[in-house]
Amino acid sequence: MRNSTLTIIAVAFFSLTGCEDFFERDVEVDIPEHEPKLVMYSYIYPGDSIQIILSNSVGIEKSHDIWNSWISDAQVTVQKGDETSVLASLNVKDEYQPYFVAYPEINSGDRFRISASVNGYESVVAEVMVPMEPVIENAKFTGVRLDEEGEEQAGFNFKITDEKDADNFYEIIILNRYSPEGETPWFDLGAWNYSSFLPWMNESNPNFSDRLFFTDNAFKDGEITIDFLAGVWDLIYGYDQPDVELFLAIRSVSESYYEYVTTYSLHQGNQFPDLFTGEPVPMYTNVENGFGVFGAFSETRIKIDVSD
Amino acid sequence: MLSQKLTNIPDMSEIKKADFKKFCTATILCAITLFSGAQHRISGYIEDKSTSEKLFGATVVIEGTSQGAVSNFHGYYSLEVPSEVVLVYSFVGYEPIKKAIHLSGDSTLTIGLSSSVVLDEVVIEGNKDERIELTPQVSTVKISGKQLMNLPAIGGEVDVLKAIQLMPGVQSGKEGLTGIYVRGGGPDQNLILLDGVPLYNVSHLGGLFSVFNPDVISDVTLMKGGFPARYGGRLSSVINIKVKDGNKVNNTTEGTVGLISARVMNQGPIAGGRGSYLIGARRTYIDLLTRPLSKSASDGKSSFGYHFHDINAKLSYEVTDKDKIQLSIYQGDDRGLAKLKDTVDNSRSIFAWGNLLTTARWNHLFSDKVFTSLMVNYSKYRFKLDYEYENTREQENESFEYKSGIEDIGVSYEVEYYMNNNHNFLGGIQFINHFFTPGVNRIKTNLEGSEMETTFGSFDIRSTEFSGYVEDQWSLGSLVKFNLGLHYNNYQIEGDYFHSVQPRATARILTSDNSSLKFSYASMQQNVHLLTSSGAGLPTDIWVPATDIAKPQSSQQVTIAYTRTLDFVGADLTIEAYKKEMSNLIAYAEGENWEESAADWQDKVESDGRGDSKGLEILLHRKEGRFNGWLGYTISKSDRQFSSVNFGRTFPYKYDRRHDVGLLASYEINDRTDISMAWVYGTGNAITLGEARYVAVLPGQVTPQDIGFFWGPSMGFGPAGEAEHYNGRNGFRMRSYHRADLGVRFKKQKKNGQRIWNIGIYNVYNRANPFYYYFDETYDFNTNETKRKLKQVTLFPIIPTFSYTYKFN
Repeated sequence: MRNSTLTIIAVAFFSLTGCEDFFERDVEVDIPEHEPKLVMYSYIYPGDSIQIILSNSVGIEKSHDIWNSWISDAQVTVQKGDETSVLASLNVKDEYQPYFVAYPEINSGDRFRISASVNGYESVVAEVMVPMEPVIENAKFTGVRLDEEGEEQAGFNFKITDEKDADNFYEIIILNRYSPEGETPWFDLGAWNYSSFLPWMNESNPNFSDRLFFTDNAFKDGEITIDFLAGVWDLIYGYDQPDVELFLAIRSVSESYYEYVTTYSLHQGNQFPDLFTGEPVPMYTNVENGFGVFGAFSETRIKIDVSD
Repeated sequence: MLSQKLTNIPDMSEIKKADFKKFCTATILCAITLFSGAQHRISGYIEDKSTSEKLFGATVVIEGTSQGAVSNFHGYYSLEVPSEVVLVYSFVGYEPIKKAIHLSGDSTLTIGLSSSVVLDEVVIEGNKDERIELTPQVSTVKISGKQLMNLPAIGGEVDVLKAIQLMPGVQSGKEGLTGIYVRGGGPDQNLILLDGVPLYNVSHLGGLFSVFNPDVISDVTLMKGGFPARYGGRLSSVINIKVKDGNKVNNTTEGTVGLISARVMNQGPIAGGRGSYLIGARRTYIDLLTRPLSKSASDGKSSFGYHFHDINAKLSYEVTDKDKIQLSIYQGDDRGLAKLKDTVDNSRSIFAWGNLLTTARWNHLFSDKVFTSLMVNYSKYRFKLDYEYENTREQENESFEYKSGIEDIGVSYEVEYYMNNNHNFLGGIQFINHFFTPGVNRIKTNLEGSEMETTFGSFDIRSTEFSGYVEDQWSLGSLVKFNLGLHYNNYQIEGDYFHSVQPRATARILTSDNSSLKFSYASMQQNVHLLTSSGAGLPTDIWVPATDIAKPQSSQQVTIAYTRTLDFVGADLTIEAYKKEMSNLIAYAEGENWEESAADWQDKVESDGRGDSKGLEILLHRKEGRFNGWLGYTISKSDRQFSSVNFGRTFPYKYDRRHDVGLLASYEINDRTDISMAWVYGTGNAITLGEARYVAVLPGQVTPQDIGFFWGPSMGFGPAGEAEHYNGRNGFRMRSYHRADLGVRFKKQKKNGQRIWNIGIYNVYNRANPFYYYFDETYDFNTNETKRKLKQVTLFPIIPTFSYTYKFN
């Protein structure tokens, strides 16, 4: 009897202590101090100047400071091929989001190198070659069609000839050109989403619909006609805007440009490990000793006749 | 020079005639002993005396020699002996028996061993089991059912996989889960056999319990390397679990009631002792508490319940002295149900997973040298997720169903040929038909008057597998012993064929009376993959077949081992070094997981993975005596590499564990009380953790030239966001894991049987071990600052457990 009583008391005692804070206990974990690094961005294309944005990374526990991390006290140089480096100047017009600018002539096939030094940080350097302009023809509107989700979209196709002996990366963009009377014409985005039935479109992330990328793996050194769908309101709903023209822009982009944008689309949805979902996706960079990207592109635009 | 050397060779003519006569006589006598009719064969079964349960791995040794045999999976042994011989039969946990035998011809002898009585500690108990230095197997550990029941019980349940996790070279994955990671391998790379048939999912309650009811387990063998040719289909380990045949002598019943589950087992003889049966069942009753509690807490609007159960049944019958048939069934399910109900909206979610396994086996003795076994088996694993929603006011409803699983139908035939004491041959063939359902989604909606029903995913994929194998256990003198074998596999799926010839070899060289060196090489192939999002061994992991894109996994492993019996403490010491290379591993492509819908799972995977694992393991194992248990230590390194993951760079495997310690100690105070203690330590798991953040700026789709001016850096270039920096895949270590468990058993003989109180404490010193990390953000209104801290979720604090068992006479 005595033994039984003691046993019952012991069991009851242990049961009660075991129930407290059962699933979660507030344990803070130290993570290594992050040594801030320079973050550099520049996307260049023929006919424009080179703009460079600099900021710094911050430790994950202080990341609310991220939008105050722009850097203006840097020495930034730009080198075209084997030419002498030129110093990029600070754009002082925008103190909130400062950037550096240099004015070398940019042509397809040119190679550029940017380096940046800031006190207290390791210097960064990045290189890129400006791709050749893509060769496209026969771009046309193919009518309103249903996408995989059963939604109406505007269909387009075009023929592209791949540049030989190179790994090429492409981006498809639909643009509207607005030409109001008495004003300088300007371009703006002409579609709010993109998709394609081709399995190699947005291959790394088929769910990415903001932009449409592809590589030349499926038609290396050859040519192909590409079909795609885009959310162009005017075509889907039959709006007639006489001062708006539709353009197809095909960009031949550097590998760094392609990798950065496509990786970012995956990275956004996978920034922390989860028991039931996937692993975090690390960001691409071609900036030595830092983060960010130095990308380049060349673009060909064709007006699309939608009169039918 | 040559002539000088030759002069050192004794001239035969110088040997005295008498010596020559002696030499000839001795040679002839030896030859007669070895090859003449003076050798007879003795064969039979080794079994438990009280239940007639056949003992797998028991030894019979010719006294004073290292010659002997080991009983096979069915308890059968066969051995050549001289006419006059003393045989020593032994098995861990049993009293050895010496038998002086006079043979005039071949004979059969079935030996019953009695459970051992604990001896005083001063008595050295060597030679009770087969001495570790004699066996050619490397990286193999056997845990008897008796030793298993001495483990500290968690939730009143002793768990076989938890015991295996304490062994060196075996990592446990996440806190509390039964995931098994052997020598850097994945959770799918373990061939977990229940009575010889593979089980695909072995966990309940997210892995807190394994599917193995401890009451019905006879013994467990773990192989981490040096795999004999008879095993195939997995890369990293074989865990062979034998279910008891049932008591052929007495009808017995026992029942156990614990904190969250109860189990009952009944066994007994049939047909006057020519056969036996066993039925065991286990069920949790968490749902009996959670359902009414959740209902009352939500005013009847919601209820949640979860339970799992296991049923084992086995029937054995000796048709003749040479023929035995066995039928066995295992069925186990996990099922969770959540219901939400109010005046308008009703919803119901069900998640369920489970196994069904049936086996029919016919063992036949063609002669005392030839033992055969024919087996037909069916196994099925399935995972199901069901969601239904109904809006009664709008007359709208929608449902979602997700299913994945695998079914196998197999037939195998195995022959053991005991040629002589120097050669034991084993060969067999096996045919398996796999049916895969990697993932099917069915969506049905009736919303706003429009109905839609769609089914998509991968299902009804069939593959076939044929295997043939042969192995020879070859003794070369008394010092050297080999196990040499070949395993051939032919795998076919959708018109693609994959052949592999997998050589296997182990060698043992005795270095002294109580020590040996061992070497092994094993080439393995695996034709199934487990697609896992987290590597945690959750039911959401999907079994998929090897295909032309995701080719069969393969591995090569070498092991060098030093083993020694430490007679002064009655324990075995094993030190092993291994290196394992794996190829064609698969993983979800970056950004993909099981939730993402795709027509074909192959679109979501990277399939060119390579794995590299190496380590050193030390095990001190005392199997018998009042004080028994083991201490294991592992230092290891395990990496992975995929061309499109982590930018192609090598990264640590998620369960790479540099240091790992497992200690189990059990002490029998007296006949009525014993205590046990387990302690584990492991380097923290490797995870991918953001260590820094920075502004991410994308290229704009319109340029400054298009809009006529530059808006500023981020706007001019395109949208901006935040990016995290990781120190590579799995570049961050969680806090180390350590925990101690205690158990005490009080046994008492009662009028109608024996009662056992099993009281335990899980996590005795209340260590907060990491299960999951997250960033906690708080806003400080005084400083207007957002504070972010990394915090961990811990699953189990100190938990008392108990169970009450009654074994009826």
